[in-house]
Amino acid sequence: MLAPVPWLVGAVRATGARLDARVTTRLLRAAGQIPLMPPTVAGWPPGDEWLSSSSTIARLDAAIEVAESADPAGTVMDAAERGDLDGLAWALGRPDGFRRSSIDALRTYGTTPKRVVALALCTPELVIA
Amino acid sequence: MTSVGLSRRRFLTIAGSGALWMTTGCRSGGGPGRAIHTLGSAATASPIPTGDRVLVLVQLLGGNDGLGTIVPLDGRYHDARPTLGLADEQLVMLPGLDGHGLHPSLAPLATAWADGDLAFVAGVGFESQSRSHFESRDVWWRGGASGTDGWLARWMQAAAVDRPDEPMEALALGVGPRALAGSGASAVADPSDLEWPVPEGMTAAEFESFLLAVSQQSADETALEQAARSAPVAALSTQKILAEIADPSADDPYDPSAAPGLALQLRTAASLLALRPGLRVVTVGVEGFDTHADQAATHATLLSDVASAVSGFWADLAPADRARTMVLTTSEFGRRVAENGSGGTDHGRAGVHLVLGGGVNGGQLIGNHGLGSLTDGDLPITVPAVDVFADALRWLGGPVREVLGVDPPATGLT
Repeated sequence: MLAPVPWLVGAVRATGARLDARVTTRLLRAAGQIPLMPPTVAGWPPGDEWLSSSSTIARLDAAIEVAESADPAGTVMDAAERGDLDGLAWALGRPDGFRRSSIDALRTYGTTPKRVVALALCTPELVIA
Repeated sequence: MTSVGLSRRRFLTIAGSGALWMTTGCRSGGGPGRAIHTLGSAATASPIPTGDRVLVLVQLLGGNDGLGTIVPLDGRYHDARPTLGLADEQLVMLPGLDGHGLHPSLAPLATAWADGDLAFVAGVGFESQSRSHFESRDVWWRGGASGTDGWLARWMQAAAVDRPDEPMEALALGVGPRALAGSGASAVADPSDLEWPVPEGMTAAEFESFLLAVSQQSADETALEQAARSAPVAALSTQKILAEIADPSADDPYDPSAAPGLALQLRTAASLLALRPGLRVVTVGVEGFDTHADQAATHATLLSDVASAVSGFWADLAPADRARTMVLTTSEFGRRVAENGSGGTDHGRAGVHLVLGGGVNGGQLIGNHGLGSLTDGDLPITVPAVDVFADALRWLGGPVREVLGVDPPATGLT
């Protein structure tokens, strides 16, 4: 289970997106994980707390923001433009590829390269470490 | 982790379930409501089925000062609190609250006390709690037991709470959702901030269809993977339910900007109780009770927030919903008897809690501060917190032992 910070760092690095610092802070605050500000001295809670409704909605919001500012010449956008979903999964750090149901849904709803990237970042596969 | 909460989600029922959402719009306006409520409180006449009962857990995180909440009329209190001590004439005196007075900020609770709906319990704590926020919160969230699931999650599993027509049987609002951890319950940090994002060029309906398609479960995944897979659709369902009560055209609109913090959370809870008869557990939570410095002003504000939010919640409920609802406060510990050098108090042991409900034996203080039997300068535990939790679970219909590991005698709260 990826916490919001590693999820967002991974998404930004893979896509080459350039997010404004204020946008990053807003997204992470909404997701419930502000760097260096854990809730207790023991750090961040383990497990399923990142699956809360608030954190999930913030992650989808972040996925859309990241896709909006993805590097058009990067490997992620390149794979999306070629319709290469295996290559896209690999570039997003998911070498095993997307699941069948996700591939079908990405083909159905991903009608532009940017939307394919946004929707790919919204797949549950990318949260499951 | 059990998968009760996960398998319990029935996302596809959401879209067409409008007809199930009973919008009674029955707000307590004044006289007639109170009269009916009085009859409703005499639950012996027509007991509320346990399957209709609701627990609202109000978590005051940081460690609320019990001695400054229900103030003992006792010289030893004033000796220990030379600057923080509240004079007798400042306190709110209630009939039946012998030897104590309420902090003046709690005056709005006097009505519920007079109606017999409100009781206090003093000397509450777990023997296993410590002076660490982290350790003690964990003990309270687990109800004194081991394992990773919260005590209310364990109750939902043990009681097999599972209504086919109800996608939201439990909800965690605000800070500290862990009493429900492991139940699959929705958790919302700020009910006023749930705007649903949609990729550019897509309709909201298309995005929802996409999320539904990618959330399909497969048997070869772990419970956590399945939970991760269903999280977006669960969030969508939660957001739709909350949007229903935020809709100005709904019967019971609320203005999120008007009521921050605890008030907003409890106002949301009141609206949901009116709309969703299958909702059984709501937890709400706010931080801020860790009053190490300048406690006099801070604590007055905190208790004022609690009193206005709780009494507002109670007034918002229709008489029938009051009869089936119990409100219980928790806090990870009380505070030291003696004030410190910064005009505050440090982490202590036993605390004071309020219990409000149509089925509560109100107008009484159960337990005591134990000022005469301090342990290492701390208030002793005179009422085990597990006994209070057991009362709440019995009122919800049990089971108790399966959830808490013990089946203690009733405290007399219910």
